[in-house]
Amino acid sequence: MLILKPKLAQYEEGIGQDPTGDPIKLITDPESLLDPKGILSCFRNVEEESRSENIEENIDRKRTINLGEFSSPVIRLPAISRRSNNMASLQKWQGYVIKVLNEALLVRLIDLTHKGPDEEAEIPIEEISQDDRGLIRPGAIFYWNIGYLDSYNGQRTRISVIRFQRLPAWSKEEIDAAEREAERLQQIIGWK
Amino acid sequence: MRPNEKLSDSNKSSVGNRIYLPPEQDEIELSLFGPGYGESVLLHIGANQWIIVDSCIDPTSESPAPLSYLRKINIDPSVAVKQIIATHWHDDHVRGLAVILKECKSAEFVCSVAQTSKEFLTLVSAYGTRPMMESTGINEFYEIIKLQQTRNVIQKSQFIPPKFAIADRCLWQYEINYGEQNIPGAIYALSPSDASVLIAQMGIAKLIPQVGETKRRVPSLLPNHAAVVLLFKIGEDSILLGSDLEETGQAETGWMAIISSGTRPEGKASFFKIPHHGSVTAENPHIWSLMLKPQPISALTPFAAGKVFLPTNDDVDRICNNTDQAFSTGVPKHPKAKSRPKMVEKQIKEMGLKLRPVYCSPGQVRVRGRYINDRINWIVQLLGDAIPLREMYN
Repeated sequence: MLILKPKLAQYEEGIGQDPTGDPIKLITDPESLLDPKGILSCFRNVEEESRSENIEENIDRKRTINLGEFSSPVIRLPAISRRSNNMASLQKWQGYVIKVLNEALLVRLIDLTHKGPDEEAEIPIEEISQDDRGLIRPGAIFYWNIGYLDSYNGQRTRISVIRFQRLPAWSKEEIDAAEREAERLQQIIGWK
Repeated sequence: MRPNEKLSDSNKSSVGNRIYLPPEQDEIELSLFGPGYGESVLLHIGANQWIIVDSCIDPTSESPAPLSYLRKINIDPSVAVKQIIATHWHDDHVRGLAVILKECKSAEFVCSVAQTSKEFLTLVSAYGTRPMMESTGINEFYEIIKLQQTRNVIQKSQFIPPKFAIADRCLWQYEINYGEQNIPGAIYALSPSDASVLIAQMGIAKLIPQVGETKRRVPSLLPNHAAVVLLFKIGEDSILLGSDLEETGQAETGWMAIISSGTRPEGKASFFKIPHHGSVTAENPHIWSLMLKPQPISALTPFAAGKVFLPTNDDVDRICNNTDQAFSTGVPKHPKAKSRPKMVEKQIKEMGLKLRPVYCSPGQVRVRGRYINDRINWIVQLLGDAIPLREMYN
């Protein structure tokens, strides 16, 4: 259960004190009890609460609920944070597998961040996620990204992400169309 | 300038623009460019008529090296280039060829007969319309075919039909005034043999995607059986361009099929573009004894990918045992690694990886000469990183 720690309680001074002296207060809107996520959805991360500058505005002093021996304002807490992890890319390549070696992939890399000559590298297979290993074969296309991961809680980590492209399978329509186009080209090229 | 003179930067400045003067009307010139992205031969057969074989992209300028060079010597490619020949469809030989064809409006396009089959065109139609990766040989051919199609349909009056190359086919016959004499010239394809074409077509058919197969970049067809070897005949002399054709050990395919052909044009060449970067896989001693004059001027482009470096020290020894006049457009080495932000470098290092740029600026082996007394008196000039072959590992 997420809890509101004393930092929040200080905003409730004058409204009422928990007679037990316990800094934990369960203050909620009754409607939230119908929330399928339960009462937890009314609480925010402690660190987020401590950063909230306008928490006073969230206190609805007209609506109160009796939680035992004292009355307390209902605090309509802001929606749960939708903040997610963000990646700041420093370098991006498109690559393809030239050859599958014993424990590595010989790959050709095309720099998508800065122009310049293509590069080659041997990437150890252990750098490829288990999910993507089934996609490894000559000609398979992947993207390689190096950058910073900014997590929702403010942590910054340097990361490398290699993801193989999940291209759809060839359909009969596509292959039939290619054969028709080949016949058309043979007619139209105008070989001597 | 002395024969076989290496042009240093100071030489270049002292002779001013001399190295960028075009050849005389009666002067034959051949330039081999590499190892940018690919290799290319540019040939002046005389009378301001030029032929481009394959393409080589300069990674710095990102434009085809033969076009850049023609502009430097004040030649208009749209008028002067008469034929463009694609010896095979590997990425490192055709990248930039569509741009060349677009600019060279007076040029006829020639490619291996293996690239005219329905299987190849199906492959081009399947992958060319859905580029999954930039700059594949297939995409390049798709662009070429689209350009030919547009010229055939919309610019009918300017359309020059393409031609295919197969063993012992004459691709062009001409007569050029060299000094006081009119000399007959001809361009012959010496490969692919019939058997090589069949093998190549079967290989291409296997690359056509199947229903349900996951899409990917089209892989290269290896080994290369269908490459076009060219013989340029100028009077009694000739030039042999070995493309990337390999030796297969069988009489019907590869170099042995050329050597044993009863319909191959006669004559021995005084210039040889060594096939497949000097690799032993393209070596057949009969080439030197039956198809080349003694001590022919020979040139190659080096190759460096992964841990493969061509020519090897042994290759250099073997070639130099056959001729004292062998040259390379550069040294087979990985160019200096690209510089990147510190954090990127750190991450790459922590992963234990080493990124190697694949291509560097191309060097140029240039030979010029006049046809006198039944042979061309070649003068060799080495531009950029080009070196005599025997100096490669010294």
